[in-house]
Amino acid sequence: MAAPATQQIKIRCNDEKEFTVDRDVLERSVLIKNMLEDVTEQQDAPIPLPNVSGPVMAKVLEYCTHHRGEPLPSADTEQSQDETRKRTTDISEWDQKFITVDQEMLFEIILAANYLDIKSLLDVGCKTVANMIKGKTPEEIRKLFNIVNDFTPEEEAQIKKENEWAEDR
Amino acid sequence: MEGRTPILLHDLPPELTVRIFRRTVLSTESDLRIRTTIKLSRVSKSWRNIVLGLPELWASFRCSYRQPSLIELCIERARTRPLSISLHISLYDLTSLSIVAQEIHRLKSFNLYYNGDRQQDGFWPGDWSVPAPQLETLCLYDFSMPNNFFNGQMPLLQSLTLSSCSFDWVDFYHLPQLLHLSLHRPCVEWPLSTRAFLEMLKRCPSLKSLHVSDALHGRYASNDVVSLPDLESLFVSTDHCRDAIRFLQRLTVPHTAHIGLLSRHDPEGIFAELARSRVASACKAITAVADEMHFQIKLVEHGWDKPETSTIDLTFTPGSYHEFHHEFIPLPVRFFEHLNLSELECLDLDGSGIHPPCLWTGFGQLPKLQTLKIRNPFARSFLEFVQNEANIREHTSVPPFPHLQELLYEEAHSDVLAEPFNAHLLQLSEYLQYRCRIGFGVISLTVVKCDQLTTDTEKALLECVQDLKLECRVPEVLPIREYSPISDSDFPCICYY
Repeated sequence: MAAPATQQIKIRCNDEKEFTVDRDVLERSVLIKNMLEDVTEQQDAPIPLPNVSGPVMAKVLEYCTHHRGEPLPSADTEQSQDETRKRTTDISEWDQKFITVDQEMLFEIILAANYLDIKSLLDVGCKTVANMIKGKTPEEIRKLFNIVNDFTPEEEAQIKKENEWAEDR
Repeated sequence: MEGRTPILLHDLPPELTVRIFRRTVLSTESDLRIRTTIKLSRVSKSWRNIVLGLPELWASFRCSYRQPSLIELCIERARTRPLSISLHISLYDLTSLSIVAQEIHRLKSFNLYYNGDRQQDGFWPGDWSVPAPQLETLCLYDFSMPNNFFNGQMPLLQSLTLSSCSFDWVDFYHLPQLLHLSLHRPCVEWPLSTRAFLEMLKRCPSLKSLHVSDALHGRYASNDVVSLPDLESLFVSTDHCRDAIRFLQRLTVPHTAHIGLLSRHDPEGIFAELARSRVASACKAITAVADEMHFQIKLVEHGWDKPETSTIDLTFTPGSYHEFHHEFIPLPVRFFEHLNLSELECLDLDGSGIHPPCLWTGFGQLPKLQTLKIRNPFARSFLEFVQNEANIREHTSVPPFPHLQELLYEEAHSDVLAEPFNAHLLQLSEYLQYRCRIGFGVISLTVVKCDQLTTDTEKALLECVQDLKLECRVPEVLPIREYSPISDSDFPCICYY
């Protein structure tokens, strides 16, 4: 007996780029999963995703395809996993390669994961940024992320004095 | 993404920035967390506002000497959050303690390290006799605890570590939630009596891990027995094994407990006493270490007098055994005599010393042994042993290890030469052929360091086993002086944070 065909779902990004994807891959996104559950009849019209561009969605789908079939965190386990996740910045080898992208794409992926509600992808993105921040001085952080130092000299002097013991030694 | 303004970290919504900051700080080693938080607060105004709005990032900090301003700053910015504080102080820097004393009601974790001269009266500034209702972890190093510490009220305390501390056990109150208790080298003046210690244990009914190191000194007038039904891990380190055994004899522990024993100056006693101890027959796994320099024996799932146990594993690891072998040869033999090894299914023998064939007599026939791993130095002594056995019993009797199915043979000396190595393996093949002839063939043989194996030897081995595995791996034999039988991985001490 032939295996039942996997349902294919169409999505449309904010740049009109369309993807046709297996339902189980798309359901890594809690947002899309809920949308699909709310639709009782089969629809041919693509699901609009106004907050995600085509190139970013392609990366997100690469992630979802690789992790398809893995159990989604349930509401019960999420809280305890969240505690554990906070304390580690370890990223699996595949995820590390996947997330080795330029900063713009990295932040786009984080925004997309947040919008689409893909907790594990959001974690990978946040861990990556955390790893970039760790061990750097404020000046190095500013330089890395193109952040303007908007403290007045007086404010800076005050903060520095306040935290003299936190200076690198 | 062409034609659009590139997205920067600054453009992420605050909830995502918060998520990243939390991840950055909380995944940092605890000693460096506060420094990371402060650095984040100094990047820009918006980052500073976010960091100052996250009290949990300020609630866990470590302070070294003379940093009372840091303590005050963190306590203020943590707002009402429970505090995790680690303090390193000296006799001349007690202001920090008086600041913390005002926050006892919200201490969640408190580690105190003292570096300096002996403490004097009035060492603890502030009022330390108030309850600590949120305290979960307390570690004191080189401190004398004040009387009426926290008024004995630490209802949520889960982990207590006291190292070189004096501690008034008798006045210590009930600790219903305590899971992990660790005692190391109490002060000489510490008036610890067994009765007081057992009384203390009675007040810790939930204990899962107990680590007692150089804290037992032989005053065992009490006949009390304490039951620790939830204990999973027990480690006792002492100069004299009798102290440990007497202590163990006053404990009732469940079958699931892992027990580790270390006795520095009485290596023989620890095994003999352990074998006689009722504790030994009750627990799931035992790691017994004569001392770091001699040998350890690890028994897993082996109730020594419980033949119904199905899975049994014995690991015997000598250290610099060869240096003292004239003195210590009888030791493991006598130890094994105490054991009922009739149910043993897997025996893993490893080490870096030299052992005579007589060691093998200690193992007896091992009627249910299925897997045998013999590594240098056992490899060669094993050959001598089985050769003797074969000569004595030729065609007439059941050989040692009649149910042996898997054998691993390894001569791990880096200076082993190809010629003797092949000669040993040919000797082994002869023995395995002999076993086949009398109906006790071995199915699988793994030979390690096969790069020196000649074709003739390989052929000879292939004739006597169904499955021949050849491994090139040459495991490194640890230098004797660096050998340490007990490490964190060897002994699964449970830590709760």
